[in-house]
Amino acid sequence: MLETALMPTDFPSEDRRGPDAALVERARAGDAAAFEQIIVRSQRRVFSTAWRLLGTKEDAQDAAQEVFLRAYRYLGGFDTRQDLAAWLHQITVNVCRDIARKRGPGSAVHASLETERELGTIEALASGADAEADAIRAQERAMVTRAIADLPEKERAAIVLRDIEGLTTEEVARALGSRPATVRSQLCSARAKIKRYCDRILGTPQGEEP
Amino acid sequence: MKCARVEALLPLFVEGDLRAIRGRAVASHLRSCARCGEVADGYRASQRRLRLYGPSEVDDALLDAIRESVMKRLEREARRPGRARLTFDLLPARRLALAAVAVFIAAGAILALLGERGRDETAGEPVAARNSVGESAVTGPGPAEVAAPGVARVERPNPERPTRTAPRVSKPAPARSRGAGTRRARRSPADESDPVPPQRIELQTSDPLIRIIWFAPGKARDSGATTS
Repeated sequence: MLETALMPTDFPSEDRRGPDAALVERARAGDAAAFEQIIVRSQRRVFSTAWRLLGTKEDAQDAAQEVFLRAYRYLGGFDTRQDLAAWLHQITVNVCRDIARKRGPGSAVHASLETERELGTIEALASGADAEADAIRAQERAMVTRAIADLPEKERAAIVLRDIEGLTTEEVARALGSRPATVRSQLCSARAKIKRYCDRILGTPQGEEP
Repeated sequence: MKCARVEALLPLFVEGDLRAIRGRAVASHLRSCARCGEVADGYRASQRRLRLYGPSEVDDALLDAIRESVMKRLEREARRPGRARLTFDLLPARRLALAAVAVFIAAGAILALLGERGRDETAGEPVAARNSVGESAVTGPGPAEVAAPGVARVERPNPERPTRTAPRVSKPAPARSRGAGTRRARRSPADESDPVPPQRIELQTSDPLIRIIWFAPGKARDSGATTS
């Protein structure tokens, strides 16, 4: 089940290039339905990535809209040999960066608290026979949310794209406009920080600092 | 490999982000070091928690609202011609061509501006000294020119300060099909006998790159309308 959750459902990796290229060509020719189809295929990932990066649903909604508007405007410059999903991720990261800059520093933590609250509400609604398990899961989710929100912007983007969205390191590097080695360094640091944070909250013994 | 080195690599090892050789070295160390093995288990648990945070609970209604909002905005922009489609159609090659045209226009404007400034600076000098290289090539060796007031200007080559092109255009050039020689050839025989210079009249349009220059036949001195 966990493996299923990790699989990118919107863009199957094997056959995404062909259909996307055809859709892009049609959208470029002015076919609104084709562009709407592109949105349908990618909006869940765009929105969830923006939500993870920004922390609030409202910001993520604004970001997702801006991502597709930018995608439409610059679709003429998109190389159809490229991966559309990676291109949209790149736009998403840029849009989220712009929104975060406008919002100012330090707001990510507050945003993450809002996300915690929202997610907590969702989990509370799902109470049933395994209410205790749900509560533990909600607690862990809130903890991880907070840990991610505390990360520096670039490390947060790297960990969201690589470990949550399931992109490869090379795809993350392209989306962030950096080198794979840099991304690996950011991932290493971010994973260590998240583990330390969770260990501290859960009271589990921590190994030596890497 | 020492424990400290292994622990530094564990965040990458647990997700398979290490190169094969280094990954094998870490795996080998973990088989023999229980303490590092525990740390690795801790990283695996942390990564599992991280994945629980993965995309799962995005409301479909919210996504529909986003899609509809985007499509409406695009529809609105499409109604305004030239805005949405502008960047849409700008392929890199087109952008490059547009940039080249912009540079060309800017260069032309700068040259025109410099030319105007040069004339302004030399306005106080004798008329003959104002004959620039480019103008002399156009005006040719005509001994005198008369300008219409306001938009037109009279320019006359300075015999004491010949321009670079003056020797070339001063030659009798009946075979030349363009330039001053042609104009000279078109003069009436009366001009040859009594050299009344053609009037060079310039009219600067609103576009700095476009200047209308024409040569009116030199009016006879008896008309009194021209100056020598």
